[in-house]
Amino acid sequence: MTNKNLKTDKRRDFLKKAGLGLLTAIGLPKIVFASKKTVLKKRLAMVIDLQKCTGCGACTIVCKNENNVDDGILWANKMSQTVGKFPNVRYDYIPTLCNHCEKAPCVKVCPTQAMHKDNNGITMHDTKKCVGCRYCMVACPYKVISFNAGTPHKRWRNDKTPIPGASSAKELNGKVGGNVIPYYNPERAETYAGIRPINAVEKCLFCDHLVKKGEDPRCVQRCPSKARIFGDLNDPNSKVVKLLGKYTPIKLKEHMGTMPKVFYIRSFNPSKHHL
Amino acid sequence: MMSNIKNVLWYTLLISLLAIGIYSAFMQVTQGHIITGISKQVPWGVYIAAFTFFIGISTGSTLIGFIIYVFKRDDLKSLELRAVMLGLVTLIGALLCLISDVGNPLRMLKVPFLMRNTSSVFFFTSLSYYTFGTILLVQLISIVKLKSDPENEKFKKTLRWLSIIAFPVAMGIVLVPDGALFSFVKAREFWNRPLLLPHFANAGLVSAMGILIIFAFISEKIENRKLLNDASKSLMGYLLVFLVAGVLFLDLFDILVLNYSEKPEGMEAWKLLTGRHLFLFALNILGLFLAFLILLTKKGRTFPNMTIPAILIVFAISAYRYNLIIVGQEVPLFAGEHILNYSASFTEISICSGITALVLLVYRLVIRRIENGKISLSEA
Repeated sequence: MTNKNLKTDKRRDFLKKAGLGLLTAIGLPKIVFASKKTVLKKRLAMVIDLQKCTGCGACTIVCKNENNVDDGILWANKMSQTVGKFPNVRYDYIPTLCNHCEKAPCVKVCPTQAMHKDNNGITMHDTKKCVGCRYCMVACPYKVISFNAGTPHKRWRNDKTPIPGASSAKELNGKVGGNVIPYYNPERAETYAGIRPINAVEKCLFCDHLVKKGEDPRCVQRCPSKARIFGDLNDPNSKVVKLLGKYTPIKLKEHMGTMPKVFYIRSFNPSKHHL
Repeated sequence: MMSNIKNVLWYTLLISLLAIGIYSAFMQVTQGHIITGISKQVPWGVYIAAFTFFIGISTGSTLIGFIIYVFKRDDLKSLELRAVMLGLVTLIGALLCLISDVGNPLRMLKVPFLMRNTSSVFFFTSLSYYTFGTILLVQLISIVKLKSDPENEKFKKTLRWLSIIAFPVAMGIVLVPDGALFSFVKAREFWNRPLLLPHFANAGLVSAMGILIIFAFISEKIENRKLLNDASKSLMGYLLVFLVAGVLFLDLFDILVLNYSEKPEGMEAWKLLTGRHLFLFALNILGLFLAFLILLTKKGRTFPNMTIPAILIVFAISAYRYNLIIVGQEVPLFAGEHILNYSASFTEISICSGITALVLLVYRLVIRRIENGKISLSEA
């Protein structure tokens, strides 16, 4: 074989290997690191009518009951603010909850995909994957994620009697057939941890266990003034779409680009008083 | 005799801090994070501040190896082992801080291999720690091997190439993504600024150089082991001036941008820095400024005078790291919201002190054993 042929063969070999290497370098990461992409069937959202909301807090209490939420943690919360000087005073009461953003920062930053989107557009959480890093809490602009820093429902786990002859909290719980807490809702455990473990985060899940059965979240069902409306943004006949077509909604921190799916309509005081 | 007493006192202090840290860690494991100062407003506390401090030193220490092999400064070779060892132990320290912070550390070890989210910066940072740690470990092994067999060409070449790539890897793949953990968070306006990444990186470099100068001084004065000649000391001095000037420039521009931004979050951050966190803020800015002024003088760049600015720099950068993490979260997310302040608990402080003591203990013990030939990897 001449030198020229040898050189050509070596060049061909090198080019083959380089091409294979390049394909591997481009293709392998795509195969290995491919993230599961959720196909959205629905875009479930909530509209809150601020003129109907009376600030009774029933949504907060019923949510805690439905989801076995611990003391000190609120999945359904509120923001209230008094602005202005008498007589030009305005009181704002805004019920808050997880906005189940379409571009959820908590989903983006979660290192284990414990925070993820389901195919109904609900930002879900998996306690079995949660490492408790709290990056989601840091990244969330709405402060709606809570961390179980201590043992949840510690006072109901207390087996010490307060006075001799009295029952301990744990005994009382057992007497009424509760599971950790006397008002334990077993339905919550159908799709999520019934009682969240220590060192994991938790947040509103739009009562996904009820949504799966075709029901609305409990806060929507139990609001005495029907201020909360729930539905699918992909369904043109849903109540939420009709309301959003009728009223100009406000979204919290819209400039962040998170595309929240909790909309506020009809602010109570149209004339705004500023300090 | 005196140096023996000093050694005993020093080791006693370190072991005591380590013991208290271990006890506090046990209490945290059994009782949960409820005994720390974290809250819904401030989910990341002093563990993350300590993590950023350690990771900055770990990555910054690679500059020495880079200077030795790229700029052919063999006079700094005596500092090479210390720099690599510092990088390794502070990386371990940083990871221990992370382990103390997360709720499920065993589960965290599965990231990024068994559990991952490629859109999260955590994915890249966790990969980078394994890569960087491997580079430092192989560097250390090469240095130890070369001590017993100085003519081994294989390890000479390995050490040379690893020292050259360690610095860009440390800066580009470790430190910058770690800074991105904060700067990419849009929700926290104090972090979501373009100057944060270069500031974060530069602070790491300057703190590492400061610590190495302190260690070199301790070696010279207490252990009677002269590591640097006059030319090397002068180089370290000029390097420190340059790095401090960079950090000071970025610090001052950060303040100007914050003050003139007119954003409510910027105003709140400025209120916090000049109010509740004034002491640490002043320590950061004035400490760096004072260090810069001392280093500008010729006398300030000689031993032992250079240790004063080095100590000031280490304190200034720790103050910067703390303020960065805590103030960034204390700024209210909604206008008019009550600021929920963070105070580090005894548990957090003792665990961080314990980790620092462990880092210093391991560093000192391993360095002494390697230099005394008690650790060697020579072939039989």
